[in-house]
Amino acid sequence: MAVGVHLRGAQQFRHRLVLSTLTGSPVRITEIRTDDAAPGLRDYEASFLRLLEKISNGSVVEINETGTKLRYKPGLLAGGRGLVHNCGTSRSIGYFLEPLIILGLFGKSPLSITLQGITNDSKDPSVDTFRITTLPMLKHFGISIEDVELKITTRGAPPEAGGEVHLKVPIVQNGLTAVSWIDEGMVKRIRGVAYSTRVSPQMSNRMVDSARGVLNHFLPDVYIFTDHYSGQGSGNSPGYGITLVAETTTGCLISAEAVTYDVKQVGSEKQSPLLPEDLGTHASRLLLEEIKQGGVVDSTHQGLLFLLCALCPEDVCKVRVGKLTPSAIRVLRLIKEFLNVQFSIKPDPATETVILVCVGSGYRNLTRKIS
Amino acid sequence: REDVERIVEINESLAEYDASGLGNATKWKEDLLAFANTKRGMTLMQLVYDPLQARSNHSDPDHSKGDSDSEEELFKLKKREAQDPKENQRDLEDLDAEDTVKLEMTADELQVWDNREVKESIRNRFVTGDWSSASLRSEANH
Repeated sequence: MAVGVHLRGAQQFRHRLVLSTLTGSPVRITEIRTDDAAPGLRDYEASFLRLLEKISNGSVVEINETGTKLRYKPGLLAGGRGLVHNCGTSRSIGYFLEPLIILGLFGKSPLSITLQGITNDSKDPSVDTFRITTLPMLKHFGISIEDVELKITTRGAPPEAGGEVHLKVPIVQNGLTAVSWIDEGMVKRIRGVAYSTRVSPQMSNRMVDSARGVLNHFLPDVYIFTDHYSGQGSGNSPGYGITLVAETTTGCLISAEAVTYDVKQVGSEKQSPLLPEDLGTHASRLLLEEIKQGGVVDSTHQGLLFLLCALCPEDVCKVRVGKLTPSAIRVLRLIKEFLNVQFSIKPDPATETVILVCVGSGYRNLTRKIS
Repeated sequence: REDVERIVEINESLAEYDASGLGNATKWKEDLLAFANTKRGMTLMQLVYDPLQARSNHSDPDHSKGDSDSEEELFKLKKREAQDPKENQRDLEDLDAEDTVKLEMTADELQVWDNREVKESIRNRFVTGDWSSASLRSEANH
């Protein structure tokens, strides 16, 4: 096996493998959590590798005994219908969704997959965020939004999960469209979803009330849907949470969310779950924080935005974001490593934002042409 | 007694002057300058694309400590302090940083949004705010 790119550590595991798969360059990752009490790959990372094998043909994965070294030789992205993947209970479905969306776009045939696991948790963006913020974002890059679909059939709160979502991603026909996306506009309305499962439906209303309490100070047009699950659609654990999205005059979507943590997760210290009122306030304050940052996307979507820009045709892409997050900075480094695209990054002191300009790598969906 | 009161008054006004006036401002500027010189002798580009320089800029006490440890005792487990996972995620040079795109903020960090002035600072980011200042903002973009 060709050596390809050599990387160290467990950071940005998904982005590394996504870029490796897209560019077809094999990777070798060493020193994966060698200093940790529990060294090696985590089960969710192994699960992600299995997912990659499911959607591609001929990929090769080699892992050493302790799981601290990994070789990955990407195969051809096949896509496919009727796929099912169990995401386990250590990370939520959101962990798998972001890479899946990017990979799905450049497959041989459209991707249609059912994912089972945790739908909402505090570590990864929830499925609601994906549905109301991430997927509409693809529109800016020339992807027809009607073909992208994310359906939440069952809610699954941690720790027992039991949620199920269905994702459909089309393939891009002629590459993405380069964007010049620097006007973030003014917030014209705020929407949201408050979900509750296996608890009193009143929880949703309590979250909505407290969120409105904060947001109505700025804007009257705040509407938050309540989404209650009981019986078959409710998964295996009780839980509730809220996702908010601010829509601006220029069509940018800024999102924020808050979710109850699982009581057992905290460990020996028994903490009661957060009150719905606190969650509502927390989410809305997070949203204000994101609005203050003033980018065309929120902090969660920076990495995805840069990745899509880098995958554009050889044309100039210009985007504005708020303060760069550590994760986004790591993604920028990986983009340079794999796609050889370097962004020009300039702070804009007047608005305290950052403007990034790049020339796309001219990436083409090669798998499609072979077929 | 009147004298005592006057002295107290003068002291108070002096303290006030210091807090809001020039005295404090110059100190604040000094701090900022020192910060700019030591930590940020670099642009955003360097911060992102030149990790080596970023590392040499702030000394690495952890690393040197680790070396001396291995000399002293051969079979000592590498010490890894139970790091706050959030810190772990924010440290750019940590090889095993948590793979998540979400930046968690605590309720305490968000407490500032209780403050009226802080709230007013983003008033013009909403359509209910002042449109002319917003158009100034977007004009500055071009």
